[in-house]
Amino acid sequence: MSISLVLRLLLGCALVWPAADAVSFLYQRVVGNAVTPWSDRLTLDVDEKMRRATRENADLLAEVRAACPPDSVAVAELISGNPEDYEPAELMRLARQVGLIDQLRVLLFPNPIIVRRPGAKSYVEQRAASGKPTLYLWLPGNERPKPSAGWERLHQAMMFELWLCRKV
Amino acid sequence: MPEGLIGYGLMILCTVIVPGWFGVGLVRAMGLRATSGVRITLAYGYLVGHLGLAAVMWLWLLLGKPFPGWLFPVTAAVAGTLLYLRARTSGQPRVAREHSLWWVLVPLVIVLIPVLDAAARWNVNPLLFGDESLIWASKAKVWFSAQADERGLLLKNFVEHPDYPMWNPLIQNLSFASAGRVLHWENRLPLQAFSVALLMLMSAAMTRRSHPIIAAVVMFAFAGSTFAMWSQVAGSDVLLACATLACVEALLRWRETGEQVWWRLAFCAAAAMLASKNEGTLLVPVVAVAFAAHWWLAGAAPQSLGQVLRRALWLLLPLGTWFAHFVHNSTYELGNTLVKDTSGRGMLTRITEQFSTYAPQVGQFFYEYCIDVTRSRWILPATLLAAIAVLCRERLRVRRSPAFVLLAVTWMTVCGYLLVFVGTPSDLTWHLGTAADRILLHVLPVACVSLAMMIWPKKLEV
Repeated sequence: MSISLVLRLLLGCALVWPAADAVSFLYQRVVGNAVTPWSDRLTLDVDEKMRRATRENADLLAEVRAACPPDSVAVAELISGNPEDYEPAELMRLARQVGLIDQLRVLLFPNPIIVRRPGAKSYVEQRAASGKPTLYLWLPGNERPKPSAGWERLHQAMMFELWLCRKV
Repeated sequence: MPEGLIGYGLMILCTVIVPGWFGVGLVRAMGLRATSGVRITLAYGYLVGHLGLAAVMWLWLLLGKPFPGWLFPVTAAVAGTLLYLRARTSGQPRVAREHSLWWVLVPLVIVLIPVLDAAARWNVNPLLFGDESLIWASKAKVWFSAQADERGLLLKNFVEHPDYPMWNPLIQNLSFASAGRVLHWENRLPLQAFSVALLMLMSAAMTRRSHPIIAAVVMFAFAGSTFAMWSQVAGSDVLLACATLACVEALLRWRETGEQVWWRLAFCAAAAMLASKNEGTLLVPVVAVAFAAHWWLAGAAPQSLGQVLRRALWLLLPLGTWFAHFVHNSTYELGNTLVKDTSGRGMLTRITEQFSTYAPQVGQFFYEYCIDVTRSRWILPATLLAAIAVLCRERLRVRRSPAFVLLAVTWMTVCGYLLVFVGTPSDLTWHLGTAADRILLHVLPVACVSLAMMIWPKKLEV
């Protein structure tokens, strides 16, 4: 028996351990996944899946969709910054808001299309000035427009407001 | 019948079965023999089918969707059938069917069960978080829904990393086009099926070149590696891993059999590599250099200029893919912060400047990855030990061994990736934590084939 053969034999045997561990891991995962019934995995309709995915925000999502004109693009504030600069309570509120905006952006697409930008209000005013009426989605904590020339509030709710900015 | 089941059934038909069937027709028309085996035909068929449909899909989107999207699956099914029938009647020479025993397929079936289970479980959730949503699905949605004049604005403000390649978003667009609207669940299906294609390809490659027992052991280890985390996600890492193995395997078979179809498939796969992730621009040259060096060292047979030029024409496929991506990014003024960061420093500059501070941390991370059995399953370090074992016997003859080409592809890529981490413009700990496991997956299948070949090789009957 050559050294090469012995080494390869040993290596082959050594690989049996990670392979067996992998099979055990995969088996445990399949068994663990069984808590999600197959009926839930395959048969739920879109509305039910959406309701489960959005949980307490489901009504809010429906309200935002209803408030926006068809095929519209709305701009929301992009929350950015260093987490260490915020108080824990404020950080929690911002994190919840980021999660909400992600749900709104992703799951409502394309009615409406919601984009995030830093300085959203100024950006909306710039676009309006160039002749493109633009929607602004206001959420608590963001800079709120004042009803004035150019700004019109289309919808007001507890959790959000929808504003339209036009060229004066 | 429940609406959810109808939705999944239709989407599996339109975005998995039909592209696969179209691809099977295409690869058969390109010259792939029926005797190449079911696993190879299905895996290459799925890859090439989606690549071909993605090209047409992009044109369709650029032209403003000139015909209804449901015509895609219908036309693809008809085209696939016609191509398949044409290949059957064109009198391709038939050779004896590849000898394979049914039990060789058992490990493949065993590893497919958790993959399909994980996919079904994951699909309860919409594409909402992480790269699969914020990068890939977002880009697909923008391309499907946005007016041409709003596309630039939305790419920059709705999509994370809008400069990333287009194959994944175009595959998702096939599901949107088939359904006639944006989807939030079913668009994962065609991407998840690439995990199945990858496992089929690995199974075929390993059982062709190594003993079925070691092929099974390595297959199990791979299925329980980081692949288990990413097989169900609609990202592009499994796409790139699949395309890379497809390219490498096709080049090996071209050399072994001399059949031109493998050359063609290798370049299709190279195009797929470039179209799936930016890392493809590192992997394609690595594969090219490794194989060129191998053929040169092993003594390539002399070829006429005509032959060389005819073969070189297939280079247009990856070059065209790269050029299309370049034009896309130039048109919408999209750049990559890894290539040039916000302060204007290029990758090489950063690698030089940060080497002494970042290299130890990167090395430490990679060492921990290698020894952690739950993540690497010891596959990467085992390739090195196996190489030492082979060197003990073969010495300089290893230059003729295809296993060493795959080994070279694996380790050149790993070194390249580690250098990219050294030159990261982001926080290193964050970058390593979020990306390293995932991108090492790109070459893990190639490493697995190499490992199986070195430990218990099988003599090829070509």
